[in-house]
Amino acid sequence: MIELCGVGVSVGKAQLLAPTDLLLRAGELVCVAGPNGAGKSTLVRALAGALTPSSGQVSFLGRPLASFSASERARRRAVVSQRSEIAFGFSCREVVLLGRHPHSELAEGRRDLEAVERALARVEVSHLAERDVTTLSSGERQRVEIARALAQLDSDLPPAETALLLDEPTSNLDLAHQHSVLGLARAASREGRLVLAVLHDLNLAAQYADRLVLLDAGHLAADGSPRAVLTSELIWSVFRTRALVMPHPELDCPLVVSAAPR
Amino acid sequence: MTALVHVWTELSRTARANALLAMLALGLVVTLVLALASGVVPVPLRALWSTLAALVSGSGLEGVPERVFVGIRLPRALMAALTGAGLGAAGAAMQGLFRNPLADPGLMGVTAGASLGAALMIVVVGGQVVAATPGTLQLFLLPLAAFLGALLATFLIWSFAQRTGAVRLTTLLLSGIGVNAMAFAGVGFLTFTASDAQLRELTSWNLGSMNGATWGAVSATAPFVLACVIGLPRAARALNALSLGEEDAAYLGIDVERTKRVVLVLVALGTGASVAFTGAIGFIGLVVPHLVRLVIGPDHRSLLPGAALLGAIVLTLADTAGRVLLAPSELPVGIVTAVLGAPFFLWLLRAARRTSG
Repeated sequence: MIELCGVGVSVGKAQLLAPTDLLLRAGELVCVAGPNGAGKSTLVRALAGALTPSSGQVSFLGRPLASFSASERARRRAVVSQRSEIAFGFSCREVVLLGRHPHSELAEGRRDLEAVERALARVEVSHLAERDVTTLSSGERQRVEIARALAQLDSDLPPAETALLLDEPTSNLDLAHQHSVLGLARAASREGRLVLAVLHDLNLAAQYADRLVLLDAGHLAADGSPRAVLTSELIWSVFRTRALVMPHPELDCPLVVSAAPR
Repeated sequence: MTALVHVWTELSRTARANALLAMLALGLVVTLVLALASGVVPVPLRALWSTLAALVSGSGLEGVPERVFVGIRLPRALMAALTGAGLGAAGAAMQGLFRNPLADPGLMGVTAGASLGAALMIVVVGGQVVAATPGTLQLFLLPLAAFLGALLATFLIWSFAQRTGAVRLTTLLLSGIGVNAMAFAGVGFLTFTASDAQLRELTSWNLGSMNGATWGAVSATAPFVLACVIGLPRAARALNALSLGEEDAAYLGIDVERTKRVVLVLVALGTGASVAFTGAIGFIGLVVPHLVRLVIGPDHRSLLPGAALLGAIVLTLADTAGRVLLAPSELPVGIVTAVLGAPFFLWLLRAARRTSG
């Protein structure tokens, strides 16, 4: 559904992403992991069309991404960026309503307001609807941002033609909300959407990902099922960290235990 | 009263916004009547109506009150209202674009840029071009020059502003200081080289005054300010989305670059035309949008018209106060707004430092 063909990104002399081929399919929950500065956010921005690759081409639904109009693109893919600052004291409901922009030409209608309420409820922030976003904790704000993305994708389009791109959606969340957000991500992928999430926690990735992509210094280091990707050797070569990998005692996935250098 | 407060807080934000806009529109009418009626020569309310009726029917005007009213007070009140509306809306839009409630056309140097444009028009371009321009267009030369100066300053500041996330306060204020200094140096140099007649024209707007409000000035200002006040709300939804940051706004399908260009040009239009005849009037663009935001929230769809209306009210009141307080002499309106606005700005700065560091 989204396909990268030799997509590379360079800024000046710095190569943020080496030419990469990657095919992401609808209905998949793809997790992306890697050390700081490995190019994870650059990958997300290239997939979302926020930057023009220095080489190669991004295709979306079999068409070049650049050939979509801005609003056509906005109806089909939502992005939750890593660092989102909201400048003014909008209420949470108003922030989520911004997600309806691509669906409402002039003013929002009843459908849009309903989509907003649904999104607020799914992310369990309905009780914050009237609150000023600038007064929320970073975790709460992150969930409001996810609600905004869900509201943006709420439409009659076939889910298989839509994508949800999440850049570190769990970075500020407590344990319970990490699982509820990734539960939402999984549910969205089971509806048929493509969902991609950048995660730092390899165990969360192991539990939720259908497919795990490891990036290292702008290169694709591994791409496969979590079981195939998460090995002590690969973790050592990418993260320079000792890790024990064992079967999860309860779930059908690997369990990664990192250890201090000996 | 408490019941009223209760009803007000129970209203949704949209209902509150509509109610405020209606109240402000009414308030503007009341303010204009007040401004027309007060001054050294009293114009009784009865005379106001009869004069307005005479104006409409086209019959002649007799008597001192009537002539004071039509020749002096009416254009002056309209000028104050137009200027205030332009400054209020321009300030609100600029804050939205820069994602910072302290971005103000005055502090950021847009007003100074407009002054430089106007000063260049008066001193350097001056006589020959004006003489070569057909009569009715002459009046538009000054606001046009001020607009171009404002536009240049706006784009200069913009080039300093960060692209990702909110524009940092220090960046904003420091670039404002730089642009202000450059423009004031230019105005200073022009003042130094100006002839006596040019000097009189130049100094009239150093403090910001409605003294030069003639019917000609009003008709030359109105199209610029109205373009700004009517045009900006069309960018309101894009400005709302922009408060998420440029990248997130683009993800929502907003054409960010186009929005920036349109808003910067409209801000320069509103500020430039306001400055051309009345000089630099500070703090309206800062204080007024902030007050409106406090009451109805930051949604630009109601904030922009609200700031225009409240700006018109505040500046008309300030000018009336300036005329009445020290009568028969007159306090320039720029001093009145600075006395009220500067402490407010300092207070706002402290509040901003507490939250953003």
